[in-house]
Amino acid sequence: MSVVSVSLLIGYLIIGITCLFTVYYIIRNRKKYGIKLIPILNAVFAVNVGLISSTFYIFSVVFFISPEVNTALWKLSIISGIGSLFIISILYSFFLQYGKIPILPFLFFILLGGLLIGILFRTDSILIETEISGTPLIFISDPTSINYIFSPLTSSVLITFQVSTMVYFFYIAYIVYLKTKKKKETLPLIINMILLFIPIFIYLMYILTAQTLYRELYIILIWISTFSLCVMLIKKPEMFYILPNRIYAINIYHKSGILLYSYNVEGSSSIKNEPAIWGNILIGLNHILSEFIDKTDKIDVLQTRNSDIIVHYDEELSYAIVIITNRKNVIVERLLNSFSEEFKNQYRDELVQILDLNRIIDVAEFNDAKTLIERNFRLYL
Amino acid sequence: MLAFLNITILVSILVFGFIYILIHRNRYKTDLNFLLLILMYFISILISFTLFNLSTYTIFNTPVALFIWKISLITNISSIGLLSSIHIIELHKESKYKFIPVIIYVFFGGVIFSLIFIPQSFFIAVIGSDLNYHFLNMPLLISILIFNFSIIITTWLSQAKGIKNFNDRRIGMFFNVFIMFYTLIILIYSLYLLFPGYILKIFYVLLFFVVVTYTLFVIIRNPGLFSVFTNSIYEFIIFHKSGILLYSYNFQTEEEVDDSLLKGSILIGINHILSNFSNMKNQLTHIRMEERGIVFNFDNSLGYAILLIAKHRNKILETAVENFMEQFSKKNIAQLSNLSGLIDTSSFKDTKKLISKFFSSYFVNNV
Repeated sequence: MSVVSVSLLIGYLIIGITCLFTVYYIIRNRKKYGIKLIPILNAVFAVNVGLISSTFYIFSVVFFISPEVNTALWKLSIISGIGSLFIISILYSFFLQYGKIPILPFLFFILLGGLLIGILFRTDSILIETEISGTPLIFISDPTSINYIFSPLTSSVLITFQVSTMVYFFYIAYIVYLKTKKKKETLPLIINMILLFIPIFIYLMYILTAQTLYRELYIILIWISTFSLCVMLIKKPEMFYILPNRIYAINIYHKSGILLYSYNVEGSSSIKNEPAIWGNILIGLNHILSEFIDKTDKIDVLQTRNSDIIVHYDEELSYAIVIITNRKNVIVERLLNSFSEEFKNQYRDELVQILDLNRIIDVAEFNDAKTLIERNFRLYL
Repeated sequence: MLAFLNITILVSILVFGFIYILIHRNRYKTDLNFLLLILMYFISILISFTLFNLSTYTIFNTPVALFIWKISLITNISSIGLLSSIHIIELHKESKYKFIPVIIYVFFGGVIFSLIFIPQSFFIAVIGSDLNYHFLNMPLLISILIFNFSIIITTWLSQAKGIKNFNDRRIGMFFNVFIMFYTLIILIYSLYLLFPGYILKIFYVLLFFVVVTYTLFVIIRNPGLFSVFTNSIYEFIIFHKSGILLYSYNFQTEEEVDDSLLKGSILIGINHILSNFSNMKNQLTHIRMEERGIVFNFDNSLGYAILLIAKHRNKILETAVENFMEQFSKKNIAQLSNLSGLIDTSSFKDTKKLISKFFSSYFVNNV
């Protein structure tokens, strides 16, 4: 048994255990990751890399069963690797917009994935080169004695897929960096992208040169980047919340249109807020629409060229909370709902008193709403 | 030669349809992207049908015929995939999952494309003037059959689930008939791939003519078909800045609403809006409600606003409202400039003609 084989087996065990622990952590703390799909995709990614892809890799490189079986396992490791890249691409897209997958790049990836799977059906797509002879059942071999040669067609599709995904990761990271208010917050994403780029580059070198050293280096590096991703997922689940979403202002209005409280996020332009105007416009539009459509269907978002204005109504105590953000998303809505509940509980007496439109409204009573806002929206402020 | 006759018939049908639509293009108020997709579909069926005919008759030598046959298989799956995708995406505009069938089609398309060029995939039998292609590459045949059946299943599921989304029951009926034909074509084609032969080929070609003719006939008879595919207008209201309704039309009852009384809430609303919009630095572009699309345009200089309440807001409606406003302002500039004191709304009664001009496709009884 060679040192390389033993090292690979140890690495396989470590990454397997790490990924299993990460999956367990994600399932236990799934609410920390925002929308439902994010923890699901992260868990699927961890299982795919740590267990499925690594197992196929180990059994096709470290163990020798037969040329046909080893080639089939190697092909399966390629397919699961492609699957992992695909999942990461989806997760990267969520940094731009929650739950939204840009359809055109993904159709391109899917097409390449389909092409690759079709090519792998061909017997000449990948050929095994081995010095091992005879008919052993299973034995641990020196990985350098098993090598896989890619056909030109397989190489070109595989390289196109990997290069396209890397370009896509670069693009997303760049946009996120440009749009994020606190540039420091983008550091984990950029490190993650670099950690992904290096093994992919090494893998391309293996496809092109067929040197087994690159192959072993690739799996070690991919395990290192997966390990770092697992650490990031556990230590910084809120990363999916804050990149690159922004809140510019939070305003609370009475049903009469009077502004009860307005919070401007530091550094946001006052142009984007204009609290008095938005309150009036909202009331105006709802008044007009109420003449024509049923009262239950109210405006929930107003869009301008630069921002989304999300509206939350409280029918019971007749106030509305308006959040001016760069883009409406599920997480901001969820934070808005929980903030509204806390606001209602804290100011119930004051709000009940001003249900009577003849009462004078003292907006100073709502000054402490600042503490509530800062507690609920701390990630964005 | 039968192949050239078939191609000529299809080209004639399509050219006739294309020229007719081109001449009457003003009647086809549809989204340009959607129109381009439909055009792409017709081009893809033309290519697919042409290549099918050229490859299944002894026109070219065998290697050339085989290459054309492979390309015809690819264009065939592209055309049926494209049509099913358009149908699903348009019918389920609001659904988060509308792209899933498209993803499945593209994936299988990729698999088929890479399998099709494996050497020794077909055995070619020459019977008289016919070339019959028998599959030797089983993964390829299975992939094509899975693709075809997934198209049939997803299209029917989409139709069954989305039938309520059609603006008009008759459009829904048209699509039921169309999908039935479409299914039949795919089934016959799949049978032909399994058991290549003269009878199935002729049956496939004839059915193809019937479906294309039927589709073009329906498009020609119903120019509003694509603009109102799943959309409906509920209300169209024009009001003055004083809060008075100048004109109101209900598209569901197809009646003018004869109500010129001052509505308190409209007055409050319009005052709020018009007094604030002029000060706005960040102009409002969209109003979104959970269940409706709202188009709200206002003319600050003449002091009136238009409110259109529809099922979905889209570019077609926005453009129609803008065009309507332009004509309405031009036609009523004198009245609108002098509106003060007692307002006589009867001078706006003939607005119905303008509505018919720009929104006729949305009249419930028009399709």
